[in-house]
Amino acid sequence: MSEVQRINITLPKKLVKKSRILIEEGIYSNFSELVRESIKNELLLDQSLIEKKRILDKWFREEEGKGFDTSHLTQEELIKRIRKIRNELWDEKYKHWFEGLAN
Amino acid sequence: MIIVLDSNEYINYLSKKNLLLDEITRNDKLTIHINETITKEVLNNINEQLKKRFYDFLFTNNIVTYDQKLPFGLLKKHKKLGLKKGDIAIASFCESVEADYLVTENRHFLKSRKFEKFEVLSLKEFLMKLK
Repeated sequence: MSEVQRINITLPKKLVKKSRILIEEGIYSNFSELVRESIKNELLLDQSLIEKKRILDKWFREEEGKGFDTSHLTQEELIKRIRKIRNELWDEKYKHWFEGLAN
Repeated sequence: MIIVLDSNEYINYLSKKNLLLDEITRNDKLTIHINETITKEVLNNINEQLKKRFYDFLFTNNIVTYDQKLPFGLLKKHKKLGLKKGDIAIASFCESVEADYLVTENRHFLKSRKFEKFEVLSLKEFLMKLK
């Protein structure tokens, strides 16, 4: 069994009252389990958010200074521009790897 | 339900040409997936001010970021179907994340094709389908 540490926490009475409903309904066997599971879920959520932030930061950093105001373009002109960029990104990321393996 | 939004949908939304995307982000039954290519296409077509809004939009909504190399088998499959370069990547991405729909205004390219694993619809068509 992993090592445990006992801690005291202070909670608003209303929150404790609501938490007891979850225990009485049998969703958690006791208050410790409720807190333990809630913290685990919170940590999982945080981890995925941290990972998402890391990925977004990387993509945004790599495109720094490349923005262009396309608000004056028609939908067709915008799509044409996007297609050009899409092909350039393909060449940058996949061309050598994919074509090398495919041949 | 999993959907992929093409870059033109994000650009139209951020530049306030079309705010229908709100209806998608409000729907908790939908998960949006985005990859590096789509993100970078958007970043290349908006001004600096909108980049901040785009970041917040991606971060706060139920949007999953996909940062892996696309599977070789899927790229090969879509090349065999006759797609070119970036089109191979976007179709492979949709299949890779098991998307049900690709939402795009790009009629000339994807709308003209039938894909086995996902359907291509415009934003309006997709919202109609949701109702």
